[in-house]
Amino acid sequence: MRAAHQFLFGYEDGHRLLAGSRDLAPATAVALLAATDAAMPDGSAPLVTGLALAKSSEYAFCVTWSATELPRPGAVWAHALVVAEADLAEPRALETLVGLPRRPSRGVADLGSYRAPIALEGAVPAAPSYLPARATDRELLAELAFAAYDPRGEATVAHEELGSAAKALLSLWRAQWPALRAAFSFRTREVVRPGTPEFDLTVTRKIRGQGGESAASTPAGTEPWLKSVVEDAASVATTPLRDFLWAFGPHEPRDPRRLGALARLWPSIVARNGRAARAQLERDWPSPQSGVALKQILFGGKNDDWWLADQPDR
Amino acid sequence: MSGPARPRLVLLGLPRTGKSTFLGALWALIQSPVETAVSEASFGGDRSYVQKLADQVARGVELDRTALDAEEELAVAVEFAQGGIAELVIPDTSGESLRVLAERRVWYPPLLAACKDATAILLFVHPERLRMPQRIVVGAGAAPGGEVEAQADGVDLHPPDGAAFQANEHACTAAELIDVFENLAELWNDRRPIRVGVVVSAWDRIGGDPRPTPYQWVAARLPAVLATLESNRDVADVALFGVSAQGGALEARDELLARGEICDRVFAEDSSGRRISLVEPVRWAIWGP
Repeated sequence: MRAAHQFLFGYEDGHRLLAGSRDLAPATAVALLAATDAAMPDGSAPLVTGLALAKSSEYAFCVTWSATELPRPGAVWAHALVVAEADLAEPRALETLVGLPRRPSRGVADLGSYRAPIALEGAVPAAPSYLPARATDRELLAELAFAAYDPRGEATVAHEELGSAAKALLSLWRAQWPALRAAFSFRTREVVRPGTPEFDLTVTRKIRGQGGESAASTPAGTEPWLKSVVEDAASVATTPLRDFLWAFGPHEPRDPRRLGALARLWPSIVARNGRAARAQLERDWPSPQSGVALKQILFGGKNDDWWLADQPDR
Repeated sequence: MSGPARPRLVLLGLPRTGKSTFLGALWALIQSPVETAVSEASFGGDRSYVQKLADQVARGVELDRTALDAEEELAVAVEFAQGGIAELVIPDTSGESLRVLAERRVWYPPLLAACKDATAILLFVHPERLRMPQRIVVGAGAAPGGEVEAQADGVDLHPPDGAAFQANEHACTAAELIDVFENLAELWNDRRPIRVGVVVSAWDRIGGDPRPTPYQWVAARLPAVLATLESNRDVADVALFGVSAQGGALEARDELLARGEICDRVFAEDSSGRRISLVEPVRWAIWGP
């Protein structure tokens, strides 16, 4: 049975694990302790964290809330859900997972409800209570897609509104093919220093550096591939691009930049521009051993379905 | 002519032992024209975080706890009246990062990196937040492992409710700090000795007639820690300090603030009880006695 193990972190003479549905290996416990702890000034939006736990082939999805009702300034509550990598492949289980995080409403009196695993099957996915109701910010989505998928992108993006950022990050994450999703670590934070290697993408209100705090953001590119990625990530239904990414992505290394390479190839396929597609393949899959399935399907004469990918009746 | 010193100091301590308060007060003193022991040597660097700490110390409010992922630091060039110029870097480490080392036996990577690079450590202990060794009473019908003795005057026995003893949750503070020291010693194999200053925070709360010196207090309350440090002189040069980085109790905030600015309130003592500047533990950590 697919199930999420849950862990509640909070303040008790320091930020610590208060309740959980199973024991944690020491290294995992420390990784979750760090992933769920963050500086949160008054009024801070809930922070989201997705953390790949490669050693145990698991994934942790966490939400952190400010605990202003507690006497210690800076205390937080955090709910972490840990699932097997394979559980991220099932769309309904994923929707259930992202709806699970909840802030304790009665403080430590609620601890008992965090001590049992939660079934991911048979449940009706709940709307995530920690996300704003407004629509996904597509401009921000483009900025995040560029940051995560383009070789020129920076792993840290500054954005003022972290609620919107959380929503955009989750849209981007959910659109990835399952193996990439299971390896993609992301987070929102109030302030960070750049260069934290364990996260593929961080959205923060402030980037701390030698020159003080900066809130400037990098403008995203306007390439056609980026537009397609944004349309796909914002779409609830499967798109032709997602079909393409999910067909060939699993043959690629678990690197977000490979999604960018596939997405950059996509406009040439939609335009049935073989010459451009070939050039793209030579650029992004230069060795004969790379992109074998892709090259065979597109130019091997066996199947030309993808060249008709934009046909309405496909 | 030699250049400025480039010390890498690490403030270590379990949660709520006064590390951030010390950092905030230190920054306030560095900026204060009244403080003669130290001054700012250049105006570069990022001060926003330490300025926030200093503002909170100045207002006499409890500081925000330092989150594990905070990655904050004091990075500034300062000139000490006794010593010279130092390009000082002090990360504001979270107490939780030390606790996972002591209780989970896992190095939190940023703490490990900071300690590996450290040229000196200031180890903070709060006099009112010590876990004392659990006493075992052997009595008729006692369960294996004994029963927990009733609380003695002024001593918190742990665990207080007689719950099963678990080393990772109930080990006394001294045992945890000795374990930490031994792990640090392993990191410094190739560059011993390192300066290790034990800083007893909230020194204003220490009573007694006569009031103990920092050395006497550590010898009485953390004798095993002191013995470990003193018997490992090849690993660490040791000094003891008592510091009051707020200058008094936050519960009596009005009284505290009435005593003036930070530089008027804060104080420190060396191991013998002699009054020193609050910046002296940092100066000692850089240049020694």
